[in-house]
Amino acid sequence: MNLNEIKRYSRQLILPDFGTKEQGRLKRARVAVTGAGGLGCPISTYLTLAGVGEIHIIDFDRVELSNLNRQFLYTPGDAGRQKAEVAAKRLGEINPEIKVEAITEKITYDNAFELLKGYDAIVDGTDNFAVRYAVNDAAVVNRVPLFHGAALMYEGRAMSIIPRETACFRCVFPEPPPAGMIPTCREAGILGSVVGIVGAIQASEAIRYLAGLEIGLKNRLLIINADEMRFEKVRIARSSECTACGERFVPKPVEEVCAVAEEVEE
Amino acid sequence: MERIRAYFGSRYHLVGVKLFREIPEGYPTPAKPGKFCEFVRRAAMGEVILMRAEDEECHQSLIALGFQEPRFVDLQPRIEPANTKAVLIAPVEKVEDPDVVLMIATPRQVMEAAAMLHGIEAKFAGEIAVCGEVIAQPIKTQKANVTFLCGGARMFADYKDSEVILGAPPEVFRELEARVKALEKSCGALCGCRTSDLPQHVVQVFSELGFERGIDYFFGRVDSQNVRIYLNKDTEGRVKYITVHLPIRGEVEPPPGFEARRRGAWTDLYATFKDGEGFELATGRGVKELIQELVEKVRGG
Amino acid sequence: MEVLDLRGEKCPDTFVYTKIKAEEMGYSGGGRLKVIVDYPPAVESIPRSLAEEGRGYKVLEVKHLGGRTYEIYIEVPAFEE
Repeated sequence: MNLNEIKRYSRQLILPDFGTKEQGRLKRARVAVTGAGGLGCPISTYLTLAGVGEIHIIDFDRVELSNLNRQFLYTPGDAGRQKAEVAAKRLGEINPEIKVEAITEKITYDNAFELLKGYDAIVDGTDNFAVRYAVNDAAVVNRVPLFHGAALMYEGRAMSIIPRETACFRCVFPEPPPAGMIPTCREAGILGSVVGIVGAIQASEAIRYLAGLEIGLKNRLLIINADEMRFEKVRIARSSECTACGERFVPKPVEEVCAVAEEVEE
Repeated sequence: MERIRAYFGSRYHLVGVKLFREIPEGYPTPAKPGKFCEFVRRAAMGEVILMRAEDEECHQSLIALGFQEPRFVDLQPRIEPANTKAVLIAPVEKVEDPDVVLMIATPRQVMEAAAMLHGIEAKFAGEIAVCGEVIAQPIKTQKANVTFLCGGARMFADYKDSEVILGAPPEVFRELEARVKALEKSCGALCGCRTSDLPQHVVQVFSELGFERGIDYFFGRVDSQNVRIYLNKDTEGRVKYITVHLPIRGEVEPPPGFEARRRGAWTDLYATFKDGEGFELATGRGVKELIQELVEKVRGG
Repeated sequence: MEVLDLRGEKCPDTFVYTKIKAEEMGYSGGGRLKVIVDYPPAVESIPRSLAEEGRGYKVLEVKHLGGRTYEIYIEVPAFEE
């Protein structure tokens, strides 16, 4: 490490279980962050701050004013720009010692397996079920650890998926909820700090895993109730019938549940 | 030295520090290692701590307090030669014959102490502060010193930005206490509470009696006698004491119950009373009667 | 020889950064490290902190360059992992 890196990471390097070996593992890691929105912002920021050497942010959306109550990497002047690109640029300024790249592509069940290949970890910041299932299946097939999270209104969830070792998203939720049952942020609302909590939890799990340390959400679903600040860990298990990581892999793309058409801002 | 603590209104105890050349028996040692400056703060909150070399985490401190000799640089100030084996750090009442007494204080409190001591010559560098500047230095010079702490102390031992430490041999603090006692009796301008700091209902009591407000006293006339009234708070910040000054022309012997202080051609006869003993500051009940009684006494009535 | 220029730094940063650099060197085969400080207390605390790590660091020499500037020469062994 050069002196700038030593100074920059000194406060984590004095942690009892974290030293130059762990920092070296972070530096050599290549991580994909799917989504640059409410979850993607805290996730990619904390990975950047910790010193993950290469971060790819995958998002095809553009910045809108309604994002700004939670997506803190963006300013009003960024409206209309590609989120992934703005995020990558800003994070590159925050930590010039690492590489942050933007991939402005929409993740679908068809391209996920190719897009999410060759990473040491994927941290999922997507906000819709179709992409979530695609990311899960791709992670499982490509054997890339996946750090899942979700947040809506005052509820949040997180779990850490080590393919073939722990439960995956589909083991716990084999089917998406029926169309219209789960509202989107547009309909139900979300507070920035709540989605921030979930994203930070995902990032912490990913960072510790990449550094070679023990993590807390393997085969555990963390359920967060941020209005009462109640945190519960529910035991989950890998299912032999899971179409992703069970005995046989069965590709099962999920339809876009959100009936609201994407608004393209001109 | 409890008067000092009460006078300054400090929630911290004065800390006594004593160096030992052999580890004494019967004192509690820390459960886990820490830093001298941290132990000082804990002692100021009431703890008794015997610190040995293995309890001290900070290398500078081991050198400054005389546990170890330096190897490469003669860091000063330090206790030399290095034959310290243990340091007792505790509220000063619990230390027999301390080498140094420490007072954690705000700059304002140090200002007042300095005025009472007619000046303190401070030498500080923001390094090796609590262990060096206010322990080793006062022991060497037998004089008071003030430290503005150091990065280590402020970072690890949780001192606030507004805190500094006055350290001195016990004789200096005994002198300070004598001055404090004298001042308390006379309630000079230094220790009258600013009338703007007083609760409104108390101010009202005196304005209803026809008194006017000065910066830190009320003044008026009762039965043709000039009267000055100083109010003082207790260590909890509540207005507790009222000192009545009656200036008399000439050199006058104080009648029983009064003290006298000469002021040029005048003598101030004064007496201090505690709220609740014959009068009530909260309601004003009995205040007028008290003053009238005092004026009568002074008149020889 | 690796050089760590810590002029302008004070305790505890001086020995924290030195410990980090020395550990990194130990994991990559060891070597010699020169630390430059202009804060005299660090000259005492760096050797002591390194000794506390118990990893076999050795202070070879301390040079006083004049004023408050010192150079500390450290031998870092290769860690067995």
